[in-house]
Amino acid sequence: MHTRGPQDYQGGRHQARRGAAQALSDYHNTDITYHHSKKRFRLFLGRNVTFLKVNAKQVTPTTGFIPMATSKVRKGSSDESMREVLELLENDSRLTAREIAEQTGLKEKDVQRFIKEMEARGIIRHYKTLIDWEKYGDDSVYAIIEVQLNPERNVGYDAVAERISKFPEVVTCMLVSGDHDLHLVIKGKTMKEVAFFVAEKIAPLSQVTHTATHFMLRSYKREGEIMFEKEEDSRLVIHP
Amino acid sequence: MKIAKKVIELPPSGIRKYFDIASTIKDVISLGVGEPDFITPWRVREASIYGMEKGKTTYTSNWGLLELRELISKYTFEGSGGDYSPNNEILVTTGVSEGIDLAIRAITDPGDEILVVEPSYVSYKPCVIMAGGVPVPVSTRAENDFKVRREDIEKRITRKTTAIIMNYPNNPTGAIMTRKDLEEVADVAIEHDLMVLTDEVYEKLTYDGRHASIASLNGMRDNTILLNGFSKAFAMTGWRLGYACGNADVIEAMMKIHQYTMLCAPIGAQLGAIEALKNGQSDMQDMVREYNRRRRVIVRGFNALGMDCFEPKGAFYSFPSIRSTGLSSEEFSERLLYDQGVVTVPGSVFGESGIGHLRCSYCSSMEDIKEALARIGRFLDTLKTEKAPTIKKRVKR
Ligand SMILES: Cc1ncc(COP(=O)(O)O)c(C=O)c1O
Repeated sequence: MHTRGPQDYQGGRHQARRGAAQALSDYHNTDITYHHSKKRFRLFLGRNVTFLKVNAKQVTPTTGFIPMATSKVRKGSSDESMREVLELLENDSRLTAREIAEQTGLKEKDVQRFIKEMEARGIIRHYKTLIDWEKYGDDSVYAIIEVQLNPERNVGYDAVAERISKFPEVVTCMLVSGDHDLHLVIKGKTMKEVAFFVAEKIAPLSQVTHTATHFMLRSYKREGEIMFEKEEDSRLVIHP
Repeated sequence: MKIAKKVIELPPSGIRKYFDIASTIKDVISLGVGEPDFITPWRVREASIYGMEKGKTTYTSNWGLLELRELISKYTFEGSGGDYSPNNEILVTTGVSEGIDLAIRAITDPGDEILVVEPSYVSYKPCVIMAGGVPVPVSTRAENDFKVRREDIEKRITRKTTAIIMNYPNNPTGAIMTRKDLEEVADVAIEHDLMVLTDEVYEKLTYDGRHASIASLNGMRDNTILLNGFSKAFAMTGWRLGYACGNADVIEAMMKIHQYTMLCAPIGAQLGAIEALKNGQSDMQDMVREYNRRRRVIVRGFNALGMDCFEPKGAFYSFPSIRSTGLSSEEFSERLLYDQGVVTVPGSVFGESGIGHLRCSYCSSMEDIKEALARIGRFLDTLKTEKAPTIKKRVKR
């Protein structure tokens, strides 16, 4: 006579895991088997074998199992899709959470929550638009200033760099390696204004030993964006 | 003037007509293009230009540059199980297009029947006919996600059947086949000793799970001619570069024809392709991710409009159904083009099993895709108001 016991329950669970392995195999187009004694899923990736650790409670033979396992198979895949959200926003800050959700397949709520968190953590710093002012007809003047410094005791370059950064004329301020220390980008109305700003505000600082000013003549690429005319779409509207 | 009968009898491409209409209309948005809207990654263009500057302007080996064949072997088969020798099992061709032609010609005697899985890319049937063979369509259906099944194939096999041509990820449906699905085809092929020509030009454009090649299944390596190329994955359509892999005897036979017709693929393109394989992976992945975003938007858009669209898992086409409108796919395409200036390709162009569908590529900017969806929505609305009187009449009765 046969009665239900723990043995059967065990068997049932292994059965369920085998079902899940099958579903996973189809999904990933690779061989995934359930390893009975190790209680692990064994996954073949090319010539490599990987074991997946799986919480037994989460195992069902239905596809419900797959999203959880997927995030383990593609290591850090959720990180990756969140990174994609940031990249999309970096390219177009006008995108709404809903549009991002449509494009990435994430849930709108998750996108919203993620963006809020990124703003709170200061990873999303600012929403900005890249404008070709030259083309608009604006004649602002930009200059790159190389600054050499004597670092200060205890605070190194930070104190002076932070002080310089606070001027609104300073668009960019970076500590760099090489034969100068600070790399500044200054914006002004005229060359004279920029030159005076450097002469009056930057050069006289006691830590500054040397400056060199390079006026920018033309931008070809800024922030990863090509600033000259892009190649045209020359495809036929239909083919062959 | 004499023109060969075989050529006269070839049906003209079903697409030509729409091209002619489109060229008379202003402000068209094209979902008819089967070509990336990206320009070839700059590093690839630069490598080719540099080669030209250095005077690399000569013929190459008939097989293609050895370095390229070595890279193809390395990158194509890494981890897939089926690897082919760069020495005599890989042939560099002028596009997958030439590969298709060579493969068919190399294995076809007059009267041989070659199965073509439909809906299919437009060039297979004409190539079979020009090689003196007889193309025999094998239908697939939306209900099966346009996968070809064992029984579909078996129904069409006769004593004259020698080969089967298939294309997954598929143009026009975007369907893919998993390893398990492919096992079925492999079983039939082995049972009936059929050669399998597999056009995997969209291999890299697979969005869910991993691409599986029938060549990598047990016992299929020597029964398969694997065709692939650079047009789609690396946005290199105009470069005309592809490759064929298979058993040394078959590839040798293809090389013979290639030698007398093409001699070799253009060297500039081969130099670019070397750079693409060596350093172009991340450019490619960026493009794939962008296609994937558009794919989600377009499929969702069609379903929201009530045009049933199964989820394409590869290539860059969506294949919504237009059956609910009662129009034929040609009618739908033509009227949509006249009414709203949106170019699509009627599914019927790709064989009988494409009837009732529309091929809409998403090789257009996100803005264009959204605008196209909006216009299609407006078009559907006009169809509804048109139909209203008929429906009312019916209600009265
Ligand atoms: C399935 C399929 N095969 C081959 C080709 C042609 O490729 P190639 O440019 O490499 O000749 C296409 C182009 O649309 C295609 O869709």
